[in-house]
Order: sequence, then structure tokens, then C-alpha cells
Amino acid sequence: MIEIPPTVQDAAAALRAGALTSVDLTRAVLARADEFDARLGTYLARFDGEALATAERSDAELRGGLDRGPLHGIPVGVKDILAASEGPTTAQSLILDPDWGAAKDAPIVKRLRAAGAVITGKVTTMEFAIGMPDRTKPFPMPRNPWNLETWPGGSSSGTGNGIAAGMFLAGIGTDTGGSIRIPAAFCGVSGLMPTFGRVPKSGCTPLGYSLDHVGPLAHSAWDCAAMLQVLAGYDPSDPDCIDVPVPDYVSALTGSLAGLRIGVERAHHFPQDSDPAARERFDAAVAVLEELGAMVVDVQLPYFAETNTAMMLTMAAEALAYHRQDMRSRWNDYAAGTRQWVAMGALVSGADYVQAQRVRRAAQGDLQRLFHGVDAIVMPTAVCGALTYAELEDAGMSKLMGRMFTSYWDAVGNPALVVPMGFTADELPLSLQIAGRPFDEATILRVGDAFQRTTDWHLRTPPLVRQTVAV
Amino acid sequence: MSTPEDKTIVQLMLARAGLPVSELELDKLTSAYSQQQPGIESLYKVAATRYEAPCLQFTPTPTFADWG
Repeated sequence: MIEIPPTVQDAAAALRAGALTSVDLTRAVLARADEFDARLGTYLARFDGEALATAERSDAELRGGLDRGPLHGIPVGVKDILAASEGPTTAQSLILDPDWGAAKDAPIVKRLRAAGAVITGKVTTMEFAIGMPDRTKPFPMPRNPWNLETWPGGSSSGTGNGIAAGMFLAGIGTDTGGSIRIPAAFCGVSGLMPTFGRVPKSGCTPLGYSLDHVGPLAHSAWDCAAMLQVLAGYDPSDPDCIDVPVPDYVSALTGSLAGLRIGVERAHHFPQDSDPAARERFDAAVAVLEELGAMVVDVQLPYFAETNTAMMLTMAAEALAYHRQDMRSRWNDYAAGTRQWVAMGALVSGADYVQAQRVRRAAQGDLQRLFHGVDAIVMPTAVCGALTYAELEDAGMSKLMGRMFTSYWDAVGNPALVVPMGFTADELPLSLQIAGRPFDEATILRVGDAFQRTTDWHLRTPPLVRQTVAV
Repeated sequence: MSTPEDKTIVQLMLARAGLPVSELELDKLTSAYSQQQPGIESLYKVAATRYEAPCLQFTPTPTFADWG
């Protein structure tokens, strides 16, 4: 069995150099899934036969001179709230009609196929991207390969832990309040929430209509850039998709940050219960960016608390609109966590919802002005490592909410990339978040890529995987 | 800290939505509602929103296209 290349970039080079085939690579990741999936709860549905057939076609095409780009022949996992024609979508729920999206591909899945990606299966999420895994429901409990007692983050849980364990080299997640970036952070991989409307979200079950984003997770920023290149672009089937030209994201990865102005946001991001390593690693990451030529300046995000509040009640109200009828008749078929979150939508008045949208716009205005003076803003993604299930079940998500900092960017719609930046004393990954101007994913990817050319946090392998594979 | 009034409000709002919550869920939602109110009130205090439009855009000419 071949050694799985650490990144899409490495695998793409190896495929073209003839060092391995897509079939080799696909067999290797499927073997990795055979080894780890039961322990990590990554997959809801595996498409082994279809994946190997796609891999064979990819090899034939590459041999014949047809090169579809860096994703050609690369194994990719898809969060099971997006439709893929191999099988039904569950949203990790007893509720979703199995006929929804049956035999259809979401637009982003079509784009992955056109790029030659090998779709290995549908991976775990939180129920409808919001409800914590419920032991009473017939779905796997996803676990973090860095410590099996801990949660891998969510809601793109299987995407995060699958990449960290080598079950695929890249994957698709969605992000409404942090659901790409939190599993990326907790699993020690990179993740990109693109600008709202950059990537079509049709063919995806909704959580927050004005908050949902589809985006990639992978080991590196380079890989995320290659994925975004395929995913981005207008599609009329998504009424929120915006028709803006798609730049060459990979070519923009120059490795240089000379002349770039980076805002550093500490004011809102280090509460008293922060892990001590979080500040230390964040300061070290900022120092690396300065060494790479960036000019750093302290900034404060406008209306931080208010924007986060606006995000939460927007999500609750929008989610309840979608779920209300099913919740009335099938309340107990929902996971407990989903019920708790979505029911909050009933406690939001129409005027509260509209006021939240006015606050979002006010925040966007001040943020636009802030971005006149900086090109990107950095902050920690969270100031803790992954929590254990015991901690989460005891204190609920509230223990986590004050220590993760993703939802602000969903509310304003700007893109945000997360990359690993070190570990806690308990050897759990920590993560740097890099936010940018709307539709300027190129700059934040450049920052993340430059950081990763100098550091190797994104290449670290969980001990569980390292030790098992070495045997 | 939740008040009896909070619990009544939450019960009525959940009943209006038709959500058949358990007593435990009602207590949790009441607590969450109470904790959320200061934040919601703060939204109305953002001075910059006084004459601001919401980021809600209605168009009289929507386009429709199927996916898949």
C-alpha cells in the first residue's frame, strides 16, 4: 500500500510524475477508512465502488493527456447535507425525506466531478448542521483523531476528522456560524469559508438562508485554493449566488507578504478562560507573518458582541422557518440538540429579526472602513482545543461558545480561512483565523499559504494515525 | 436568572409555534431566552442602525432555476 501524500498539492504532483496512480491513492484512503472509520465516525455512506471507477477513469484520462487540474484523481469527502447522486442525503437526521436530492448532484458536486475529483462518500455532520450528535439516534458519534474522547468540532465533523486521518485528501463542508472552521481548527487542518454567495449553496439543506456558506477543508491553504478554484462561480439555481469573476487563486499564492497590512484582533478574543497556549501560539503566528514581510497593526472589530447576537438570532429564526412543520409533527425524531437550537427561533420576534439585519449592515459598513487600512485581519479561531464529549454534555455548547470566534464573519459575509498554528499542552490543535474583504479570498489564501511555507503545523499527523500506520 | 414572566412568555411563544417541548426543554429554553434578552435589547441600541436599512433585499424580478 502506498504512503498517502500529505496534501492535494503533493498528490497532484505525484500523479503527474507517475509516482502513484489515482487507483493506488484511492485504495490507500479506503484502507485508511477501513482502519479508522469505526473509531472516528467519519462516514455515513461510502462510495467505494464508484470511487475506484472514477479513479480508473482519472488514471486513463491523465495517461491520455487530459488533465482536469489539481483535483484530478484526488479523493474528496462530501458533507452529508449536500446532494450527491450516488445515494440519498440524510443530513444525519431521521427527518429528511430520502427523495430530497435523490440521484442528483448539488452544483458544487457537479463541479468536483468535472474537475476529476474522486468522491469517496458522504461524511458526518451535526443534524441539519446544527444538532450535536445524539447517542439515541442511529448515526455515528464523530471523534477527534487527536484524542478520541474529544469532539472533532462541527458541523463539518466528518470532513475535518476524515482529512486528519487520511481518509480523503480534501473535503466539502458548510459554515453558518463556524462549521467549516471549527472542525478544521479542532482537527488540525485548514478550512476556508468563502465570501457569502461566492460558492452556490443549492443542493444543500439550509440552516440559515442568509448565513450558509459552502467551502473546502484540506490540509493546506494551497489545497483550499485549488478546491475553491473549482467550487467558486455563479449558479442561477442559488438565489444568493453572486456573479463575480473568479480569479486564479493558486497563481496568487506568491509566498510573499511584503507590503501586506495585517490587522491583529486581540481585544475580543482572549477571555479569562483561554488556554494559555492560545495566546502564546497566536503571538508566535503573528511574529511569523511579520517576518514574512507583513506590517501588523492592532485593530478592533466593530459591533463584535452585537453582530454575534444578530447572527445567532438570525440563524434560529431562519432555521425554524425551515423546520417548524416537521418539528410540530416529529419533535422527538429530531436530536435533542437540534430541538434546543432551532426552537430558539420561536423566541425571536419579526422586529428582532429585522433589527438584526440592520445591525449586520451597520457592522458591514464599519468593517468596510476598517479594511481601508488593512488587507487582512487575524485572530485565533478558538482559544481552546477540542472539548471532550463529557464536557460538552455537562455544560453544553455554552462552554465552547465564549471561546470560539467564527460567527462574526458569517454575519458580515466576509471570507475567513483557518490554518493550524500549534498545540495546547494537551496536544490538541490550535488554529489561526485570517479574514479578508468580500471576494478577496486570494489575499487570505496568500497569507495562509505563506505561513505554511514557513511552518509545518498543517502537516502534523495525529498520534493515533501515525502509530497505527507505522505498525 | 429567569423570571416566572419569562417562562410564561416562552411557553406562549413555543405554543404559538406549535413545538411540543418537554418540561426540561422548556426550562432550558426559558433560561436561554432570559440570557438572550440583554443581547437583543443591545441590538436596538446600536445608534448606527437608527436610519439604516436591513440587509434584506426584495426584488420584484427573481430568477428561478433548478439545481441537479
